[in-house]
Amino acid sequence: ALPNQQTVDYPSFKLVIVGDGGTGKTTFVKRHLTGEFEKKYEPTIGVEVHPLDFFTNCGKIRFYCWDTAGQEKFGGLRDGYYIHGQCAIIMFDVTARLTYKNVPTWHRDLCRVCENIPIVLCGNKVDVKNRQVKAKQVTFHRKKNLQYYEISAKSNYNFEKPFLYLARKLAGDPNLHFVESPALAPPEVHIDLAAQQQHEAELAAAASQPLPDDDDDAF
Amino acid sequence: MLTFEGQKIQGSQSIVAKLTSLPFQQCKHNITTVDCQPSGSGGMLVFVSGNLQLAGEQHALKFSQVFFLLAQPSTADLIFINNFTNLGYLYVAFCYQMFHLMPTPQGSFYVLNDIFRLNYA
Repeated sequence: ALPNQQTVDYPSFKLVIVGDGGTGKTTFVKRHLTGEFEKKYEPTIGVEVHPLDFFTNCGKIRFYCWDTAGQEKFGGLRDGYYIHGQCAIIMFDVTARLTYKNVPTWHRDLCRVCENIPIVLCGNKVDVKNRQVKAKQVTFHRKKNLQYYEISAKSNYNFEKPFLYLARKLAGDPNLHFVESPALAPPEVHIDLAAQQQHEAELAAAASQPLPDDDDDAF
Repeated sequence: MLTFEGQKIQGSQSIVAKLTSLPFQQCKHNITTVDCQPSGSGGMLVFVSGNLQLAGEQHALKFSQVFFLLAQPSTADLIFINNFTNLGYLYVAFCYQMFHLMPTPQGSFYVLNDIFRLNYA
């Protein structure tokens, strides 16, 4: 939390979100309405912190989601952004191949400061018809033992998945689950669920290939 | 030479390539301070600070930038300067206005050194 941000009496974690500019990081965190309402901007570090609460069977959990003010569009982020990060989301845009190509750089920068934290790779904008990065082409997470989710911030598709994965890892409880949904902004687009199911099937098929085993939580 | 957020880039072509590859089309500059000193070889040292506003971003970013401008007798690099201003990225044109420097085909200034930094922790 930032110095002027209130702390809470339930478990809270700093979550850093990285990825190329324009991949939808801000759009993604803004879907969570109470987090959006309580966000705080710290101009000296150029970061907006959204406190995102989730309700689990073990009680509330809060992610202080750090979102940049666009510094990543000029180059890498400073260590101050990563320091004390306890979990992370690396985001890319499935409609822009370059943003996936840059994922290893973001992962390296993140891991240089934050060793051994749970990380979720998110491919955003899967609602868009003309994907440039197909589900089966996403392999980076398997090499680095990250979790991967296809998401669509604008349709809320899989919004909770990255947070559930991180909450389970942080709690050390693979059976932890959410008992209530947080209030989300209404979907701006609707996703073609049949097409997405096919993508997920391709992803599952690719994951069954003999590469480093994915930490596959069955949902 | 340009040092852009710590990345060193040498030569006008590479610099233009770097600036045009930035992932935004427009960047609004609000300049807060400009400090300037005459320097060696008829050159000029300029230090600029201010805010940058990117389209789609809610918050402005603070930046600092240092230029060393060198007098240049030929026209070759004038084109280079124009390239910058066309990109809407630098303030060489701004500097001209500020210091009543008029680029002419016979004698102009070009950017020999340029160091750009965002200011944040």
